[in-house]
Amino acid sequence: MIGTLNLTVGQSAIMAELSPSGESSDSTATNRVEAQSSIELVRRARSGDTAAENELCVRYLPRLQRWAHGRLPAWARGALDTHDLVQDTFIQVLKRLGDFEPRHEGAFHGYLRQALLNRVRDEIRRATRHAPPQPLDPAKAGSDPSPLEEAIGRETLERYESALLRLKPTDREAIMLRIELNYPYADIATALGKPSIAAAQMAVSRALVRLAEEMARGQA
Amino acid sequence: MDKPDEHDLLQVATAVSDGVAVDWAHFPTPQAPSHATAVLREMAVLDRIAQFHRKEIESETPTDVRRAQETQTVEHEVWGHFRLLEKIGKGSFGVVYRARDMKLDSEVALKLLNSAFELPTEARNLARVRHPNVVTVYGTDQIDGRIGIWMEFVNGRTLGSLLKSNGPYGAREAAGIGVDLCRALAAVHAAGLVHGDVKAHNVMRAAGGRTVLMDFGTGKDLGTEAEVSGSGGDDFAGTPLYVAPEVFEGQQRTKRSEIYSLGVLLYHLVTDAYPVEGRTRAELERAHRNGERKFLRDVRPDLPDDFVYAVERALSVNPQERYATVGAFEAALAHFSDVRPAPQPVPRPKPILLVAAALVGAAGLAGATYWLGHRLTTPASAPTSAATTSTPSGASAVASGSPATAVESAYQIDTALYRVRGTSEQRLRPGERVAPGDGLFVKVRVSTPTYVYIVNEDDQGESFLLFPQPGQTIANPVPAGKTNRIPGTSGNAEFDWQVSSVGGREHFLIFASPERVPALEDVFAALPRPELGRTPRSQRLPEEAILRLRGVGGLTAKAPEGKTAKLSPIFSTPLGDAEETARGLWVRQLTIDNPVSRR
Repeated sequence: MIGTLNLTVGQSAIMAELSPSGESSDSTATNRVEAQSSIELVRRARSGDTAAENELCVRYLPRLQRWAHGRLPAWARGALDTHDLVQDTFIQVLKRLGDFEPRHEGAFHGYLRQALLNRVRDEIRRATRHAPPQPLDPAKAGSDPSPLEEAIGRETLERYESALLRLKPTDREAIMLRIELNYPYADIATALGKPSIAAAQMAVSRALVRLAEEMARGQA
Repeated sequence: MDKPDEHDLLQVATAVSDGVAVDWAHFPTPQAPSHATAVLREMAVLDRIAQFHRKEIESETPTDVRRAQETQTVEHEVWGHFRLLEKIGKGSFGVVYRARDMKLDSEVALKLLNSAFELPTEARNLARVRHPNVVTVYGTDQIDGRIGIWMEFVNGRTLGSLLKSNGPYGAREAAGIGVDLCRALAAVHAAGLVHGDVKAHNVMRAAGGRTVLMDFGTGKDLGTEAEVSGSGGDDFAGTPLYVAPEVFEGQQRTKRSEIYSLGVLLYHLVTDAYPVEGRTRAELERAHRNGERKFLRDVRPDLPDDFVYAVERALSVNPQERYATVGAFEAALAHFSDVRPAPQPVPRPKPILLVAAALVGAAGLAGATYWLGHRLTTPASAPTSAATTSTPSGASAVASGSPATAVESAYQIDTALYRVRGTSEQRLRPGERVAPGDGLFVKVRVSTPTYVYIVNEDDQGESFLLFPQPGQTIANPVPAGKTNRIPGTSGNAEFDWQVSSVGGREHFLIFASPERVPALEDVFAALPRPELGRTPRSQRLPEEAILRLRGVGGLTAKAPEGKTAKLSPIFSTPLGDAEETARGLWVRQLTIDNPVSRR
């Protein structure tokens, strides 16, 4: 070599013996975001932290999107597809949280689910108003059930929804997390602040009994 | 059991909750209905609701889609001379299958329209358009009361799906996609049509990098005004977020409204957001009326001016202020792309940042910003291999094919640090040693002209800018398609950086981007540089500069821990997927030892 760029590499006096392997490309560090609770993420997202917002989306959206598929009749979709609708609602909820301080993760979930249900109803109303021009008869569109409605019947679904609203929030959250979103008990324990899986299971069972009683009362 | 008591009810509830089958017939209906039996009956309802949701959540395919699929695959496993192989997509108009044309023994995409739909002008429209960036329609027929359109099967993923798994695009790649789509739309417009539904989910990125415009579901004939007015001005099959403001006001779709939609698409690709947002159509309309919109520059301050201007012009509220034709839009985007011409090994020039996205995002799980690349020489090292990381790691979406082929379309960079000792050159790996007297150089090979910045930092945070430097034979952007030796050569001479003293560990950080990164240059301008024959004084970067760099990299602004302003710990801190917004900056770090005791 002819030319040499002199570079002083390392003027530090660090004498520490390094492990022979030096740094490894396999990282053992944990993902800092993952380790955070959803409530903390909600707080961060509210203050405009997009990383937190993204993380919340990753955590919540897939289940909610599946959930929403069961709630939206085919004819009411289209303008926004179901996934967009859920994501859109989710982001809106985050923006509008304002002073909402979730007591625990289940409460946030409950809030989300209700916002989504409202949104789904909005979409159905909107689609009924702006029924697609030719292909579908608006009258037919209005009566075309969502998959869940088709599975259990409209009246039953209404009975279920209204009874659910009359329950205490914690019961409602337990039902929603387990029955509607099919979360494992371990997650439900965390979300509802229960000390154990067994306690979460018991909370769901009790909530189910109260819900069935409430539905039966509505029938009487 | 005559009458369930509270304890029994709780047990039944647990079974419902656990998804254990309950034999409801086992509970006899008493002669006189009681409250308890009514509750039990409701519990049976809850069981059905639970089962419904369980199936919904656990299933790969949601019920509504499955229902459509079941009825169609069961009843129409064969449609005409096509065998339905799998459902690959679903729109408001019907279901799309991958199917086999049994006559020609070839694979096609077959769209079976919902029975409510009549054959729109879609097929006719499409058949009039022949263009490599537009899906090719082969034919259409009505069989057993169902209308089907069969077309070219495009093996790839939609831009929407890619965006979801890789994060926002860089400007150059988005511009490249924009150029492709301008060409596609030019062909559409030349046939007297508007596409009518340009959006991320209607554009496929085929394996190999070809951009294909799909789904003319709402394609309208430019000549037939009646179609629009006939639907009461409520021609709203297009996705509202992409719809031009004048179309909201009931005006007809035009080439210029299509240019607006394409502008939204490009905006969306680089931001994962929309210029005008709203929860419902009413909200969107209101936002349009009130002029509530987010300017691209405010969302992505790092993007090149040309790109921002081109997109903003396409998004002008007044249609007359937009480009008059897609050709004009293309020229603006191509001008931007042409600044740095196509990379040699990639057949389609523009796709750039997939790797950067995947590298630091998805595949970067192992440590987003680690090492010098060595794909060319050590293919076994997965986490640092551009080849492996360029494969999008997200779940495959509509019509996903073999993702490995996407490699060709991605931006690739390979870097390696070498030690020169006497006459021998040796590739350095993490943890290997250097000593005073050693020379160092970096080899960089890129698939597209790339701006490279190399910084050396020791454990104390003392830094030097090694590259770029004035007077070197190699300068930014580093040319594509060959192996570049940095710091460069002069005639037959090869420059090296020389190790002139000992101490601790040395971190080499290599930043690369297909676009010039002014923010990096600002920060690095403050750093001392080694000069020929002179030993420079090192310097520490101020903390704010480092935070700024982290911001440029799309990383969160927060330093991981500790108060010392150092680059290396920040850029070697592993990132979660959600933390990396993939702005297209590529960072790698190699740490080597420079101990006191020589080997």
